[in-house]
Amino acid sequence: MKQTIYLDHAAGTFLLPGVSKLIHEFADSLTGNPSSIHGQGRLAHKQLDRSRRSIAHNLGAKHGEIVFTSGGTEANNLALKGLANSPGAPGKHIISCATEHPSTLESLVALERDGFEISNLPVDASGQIKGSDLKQAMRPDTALITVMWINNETGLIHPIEELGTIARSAGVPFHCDAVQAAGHETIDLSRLPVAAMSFSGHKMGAPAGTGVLFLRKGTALQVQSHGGSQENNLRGGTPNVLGALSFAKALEIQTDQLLKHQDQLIRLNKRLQDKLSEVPGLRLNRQGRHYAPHILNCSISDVDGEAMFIRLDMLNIAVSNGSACTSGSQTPSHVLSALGFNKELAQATIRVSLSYSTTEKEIDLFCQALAEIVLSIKREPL
Amino acid sequence: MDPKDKKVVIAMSGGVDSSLAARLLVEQGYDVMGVTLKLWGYIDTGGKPGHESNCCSLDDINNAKAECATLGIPHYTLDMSAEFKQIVMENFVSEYKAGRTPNPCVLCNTEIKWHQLLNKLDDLGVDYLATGHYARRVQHPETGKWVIERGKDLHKDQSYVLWGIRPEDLERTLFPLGELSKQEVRSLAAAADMATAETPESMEICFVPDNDYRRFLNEQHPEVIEEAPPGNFVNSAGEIIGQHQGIYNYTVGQRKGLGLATGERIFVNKIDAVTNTIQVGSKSDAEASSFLVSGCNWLIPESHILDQDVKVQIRYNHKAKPARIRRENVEEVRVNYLEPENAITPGQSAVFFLNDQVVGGGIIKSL
Repeated sequence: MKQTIYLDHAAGTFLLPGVSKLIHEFADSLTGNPSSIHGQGRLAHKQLDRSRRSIAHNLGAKHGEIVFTSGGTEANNLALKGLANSPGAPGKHIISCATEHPSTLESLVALERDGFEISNLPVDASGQIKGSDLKQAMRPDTALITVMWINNETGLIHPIEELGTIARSAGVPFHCDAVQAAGHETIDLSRLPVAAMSFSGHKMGAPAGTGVLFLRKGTALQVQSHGGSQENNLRGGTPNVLGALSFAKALEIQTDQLLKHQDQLIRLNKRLQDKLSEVPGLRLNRQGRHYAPHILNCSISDVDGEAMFIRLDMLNIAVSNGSACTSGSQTPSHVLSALGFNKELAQATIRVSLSYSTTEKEIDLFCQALAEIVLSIKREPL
Repeated sequence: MDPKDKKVVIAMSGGVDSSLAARLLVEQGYDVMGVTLKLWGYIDTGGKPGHESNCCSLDDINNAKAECATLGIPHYTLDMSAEFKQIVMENFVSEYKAGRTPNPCVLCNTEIKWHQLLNKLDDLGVDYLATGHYARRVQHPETGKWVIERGKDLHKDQSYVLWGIRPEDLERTLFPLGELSKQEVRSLAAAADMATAETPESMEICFVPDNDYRRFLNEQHPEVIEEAPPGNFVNSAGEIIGQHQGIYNYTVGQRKGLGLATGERIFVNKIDAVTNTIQVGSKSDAEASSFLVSGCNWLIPESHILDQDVKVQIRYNHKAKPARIRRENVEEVRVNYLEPENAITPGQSAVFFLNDQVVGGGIIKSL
C-alpha cells in the first residue's frame, strides 16, 4: 500500500495530537448529563462551561455568546433561519452571495419558500464582492446579510470587516460563515462587526460533529431545535460535552500556533504554486492576493477530469474535485458555475488544501504524480 | 493469465448480480475496481419524485459503493449521462418517430457500457471490463475469435442483448456469472451476507421506470406526438377500418388497445411512417419468413455465417429459429427463416447464433 498523501484538509483535517490526547483522557469520565442535578451532571456541566469560556476567550467573545451545535451546517441553519425569523426583523429581505456554502444556500432556499426574498450580490470573475454593491442592495426591509469569510472551494477571502461595518451602520444583523477561517485567520469578535458567526470543529483539528455559533449579546434569534432550555434557550438537546471540550482544545491550540502555522502554510502554498506550474495545461484559479494559503484551486485543460481523479486516488492521493458529485452527476459546483466554468473545465478542477503539517515532500510527490497523469491522459485540443 | 496482474473494472448497478460478480472477481484474485455509471436522472426524464427506478439513483450508487467498501476495493461513479442522452435516448425517440420499436438496452450495452466505457478505462490502465450479465465468453474453434455463449441459466440468459459488442471490446470482457443460475447467485449473495442479496429484478427500460414509454414521449418529446398525428388503420386489402392515435403508440404484434371492433382477434402487422398508416390483420397475416437487417456486428468473419445453417432470434423472449442469412447489399443482409415467424418487428435486434453461440447480429430494418 502506497503512503497516503492527504491534501484535502479543507474537507476535514487530522485530529490535533492535543485534542486526541484530551479525548482519551475524558472518554470514560463524562457519563453525566450536564443538565442533571447530581454530581456526575455537575461534572459534565463544569467541563461544558470550561469549554465555553475557553472558546469565548480565544474568539474575543463573551461566554454567553457561544452556542454549541453539531457543526458548521447546523450553525448556519440556526443563524439564518433564526435571525431571519426573529421577532424584531424589519422585513423579509435577505442579502447573500451565489458562492456561499450549500448549507447557507439551501437554508436560503427554504426561507424563500417561507416568503423571504433573497438578493445575491454580484461576483467578479474571481468570486469577489464589493462593499458598494452591498450598499446598493440594502433596503429598509432587509432583515439579514450573510457572507462567508473564506470560500471553501477557491480560498478567496471576502472583505468581512468592510461588509460588517456597512451592515452595522444600517442596523442590519450580519452573519458570517467562518468555517474555513477558524484556525487560519486572527478572529477577534470584540472588534469584528458581526452579529453572528459559524464555526466547525473538524476543519481545525477537532472531530466532525462539533460546531459553534457565535451570537452577539442582544441579537434576537428564533429557536430552531425545540425540546430543552440548553444553550441559553437557543438550542434544545443534550450538548456533546466531549465534543465541546475537543472544539475548545483545537481552537486553543490553533490560536496559540496561528502565526507559526500561517508562515508554514504561506511557504507550502508558494512551493505548491511553483511545482504546479510544471504541470502541462494547468492554470491557477486565482486573481490578486486575497486568498487563504491553505486552499489552492486549479484547472487542467484537455483532460478527462474523472479519469484524472481516479488515477490520483489509485496513487492514494487525496484532493477534492470541482463537481457536486453526491448524486454521481458531474455538474459543475455552484461556485465554479458562478465563476463561469463550463462542465469540461469544472470536471478537471482540483482543490488542493493544506495543513500546517503537510510536508514539502508530499507537495512535490503530488505535483510530480499529477504531471505524469496529465501527460498520459492529455487529449489533443479539439 | 495470472489474475493478480490484471486490472478489472466491474460495472455495478447496485443490484445483486453485479455485486456478486464483483465479489467473485475479488475471490479469483483480480485487481478489481467498481464503477457505477450515472446515465440519466429520473427527474430529468420527467418521472415523478419519490418513484426512482432501480437504476442510476443515489440508492443504487450507495449500494454499489457499500459492496465495494465491504470487498475492500475502490468504487467510482462515472457520469456518462451526456453520451447516454446523445446516443441512446435520441435513438429511442427517433426510432419511435420512424414507426419502429427500439431496444435501448442493446444500444446502451454496445455503445455506452462497452465502447465508451472501455475508451475511458484506457486512461486508467484497465485490462478487462466485467459485467453481471448472464452470458459466457468462449473462443470460436475455427477462428479463435471470442463469441458469446448463452448463460448456463437459460431462464436468465442475456446473450441476446450483447450481440453488438465489438470484437475488440469482447476480447477485453469478463462475465463472472455465466456459469451460475440466478438461484445460485442469490444464495451465494445471501451466504456472503451481502446487503444487495434481495434487490428486486429490473425489468423495464431504465429511463422509463414506470414502463410507460408513451408518457415519456408525451412529456419529454412532444414533437414526436406533433409530428405523428392520428392516421388510418387499414386491413390487408388496404381498406380503411379505423383511426389510430399516432404511430408511436403501436408496436408490431400488438393486440390490445387498438380500439377496433371487428369481431375477431386482430394484430398490428405493419407500421408505415411515410403514409402514417398501420396495417392490421389476423395473426397469420403477420407471419413472414424473410426480412432485412442492417447495422450488423460480426464477432467472427461473416464468411463463416452467411449461407450457413444458423439460428436467428428476433426478440428477447423468442426462441432462436433455423434460418439462412445472405448478403443483400453493402449495408444489409437478408434473413430467410425456414418456417414463417410471427411479429418480426423493425427496430428490434436480430441475433445470429451458430452452434448456439452468438456470432453476430443487427437491427431489423424492414420486411
